Amino acid sequence: MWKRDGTQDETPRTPREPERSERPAEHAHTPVERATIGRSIRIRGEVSGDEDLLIQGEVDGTVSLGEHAVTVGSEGEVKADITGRLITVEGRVEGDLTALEQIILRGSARVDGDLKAPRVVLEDGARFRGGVDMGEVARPAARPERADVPPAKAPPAIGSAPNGKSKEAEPAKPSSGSKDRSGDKAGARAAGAAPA
Amino acid sequence: MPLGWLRFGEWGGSAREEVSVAPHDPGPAVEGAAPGVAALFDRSREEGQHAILDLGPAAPGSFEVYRRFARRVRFVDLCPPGECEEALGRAWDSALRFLPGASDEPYDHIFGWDILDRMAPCGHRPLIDRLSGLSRPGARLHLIVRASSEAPRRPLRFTLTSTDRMTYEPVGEPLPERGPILPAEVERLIDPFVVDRAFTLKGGLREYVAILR
Repeated sequence: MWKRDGTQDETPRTPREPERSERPAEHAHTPVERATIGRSIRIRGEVSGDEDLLIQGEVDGTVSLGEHAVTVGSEGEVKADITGRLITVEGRVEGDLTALEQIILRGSARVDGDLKAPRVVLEDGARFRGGVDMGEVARPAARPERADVPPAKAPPAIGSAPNGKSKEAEPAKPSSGSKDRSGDKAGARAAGAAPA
Repeated sequence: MPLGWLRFGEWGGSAREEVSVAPHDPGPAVEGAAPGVAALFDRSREEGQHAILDLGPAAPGSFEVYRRFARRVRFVDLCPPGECEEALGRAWDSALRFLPGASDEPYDHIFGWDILDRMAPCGHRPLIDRLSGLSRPGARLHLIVRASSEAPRRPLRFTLTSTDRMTYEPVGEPLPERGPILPAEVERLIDPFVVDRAFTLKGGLREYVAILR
């Protein structure tokens, strides 16, 4: 399930316990926390948040982490547009990647989609088909404070692991600005949205 | 069709002596001069805002060269090993699906590499028509063509190591038995691109730089 790197707590968390970094200003000097989507997890819908993310499982939908780093690990398989500050791919991605600072495709990466970032690095061995736009990327509009977001009354399940555990959708966030690549994806995002 | 580039003696230029020998027996990557690439970039301003379309697979070395000139680069991998039979057969339109749509901003430079040898002859005209539609007027097309039986029989994967050098290595299954594409045939095939420079490389390869008129 979701877990944080650098912690000793390996206790499985309940599916309804959101893993979210609470980083008030006074904690600005603490190490950046990173959530992990484990290799047995499959998510369909929108993934967003306020901490770095490592994806070792499967994600089908959108991944929007604004000012944070997204890593698609060597076992990660993502069919989604990804936005973040720094995006590193070691696994498979089918979708467009947009980074505020940098995109790195490691040697094991398999990417089919367009890349947009001021700096893009392709390492030897990376397989990539798509366009690279090295222009500046506009920073996303500030997200509303979490307290301002109306809670979802009954967030629908958007994916389940082989062991039967499920992940839940997060409340709706402002649009990431990523384009739809297929009707399936649009449907997945709609399924993950919280009721108005 | 203008053949002025033939009269200027480009075929026997100094570049001929610089290039490396392509092995008859396909082996590891071979590095050599790429005078055509140098000619293509000759008038391009570094730190420019060019757009480059590469019909081959993404190559980190090539990307490092492109990024000096271009803000926008697209790797199409039009004919990857394993899928190449699509293009070699009659289903050339299937291979062309990887090309960007007409809504994409036009490109300034196109690296076609050995695509003419990889594709069946029936696919050449549709390919060139699509490429011309994706190019700005004055855009440059770079091609490498097997010009003699000396040339490697397998598809080649090219990577730029600088603005005037490249490596190439054979990949995939041998190409179907077809005769070399001679210069006049290249002229005809790539119309409305017009050959501007051409260089003979050792190993039976010829390098062309053409301009869209």
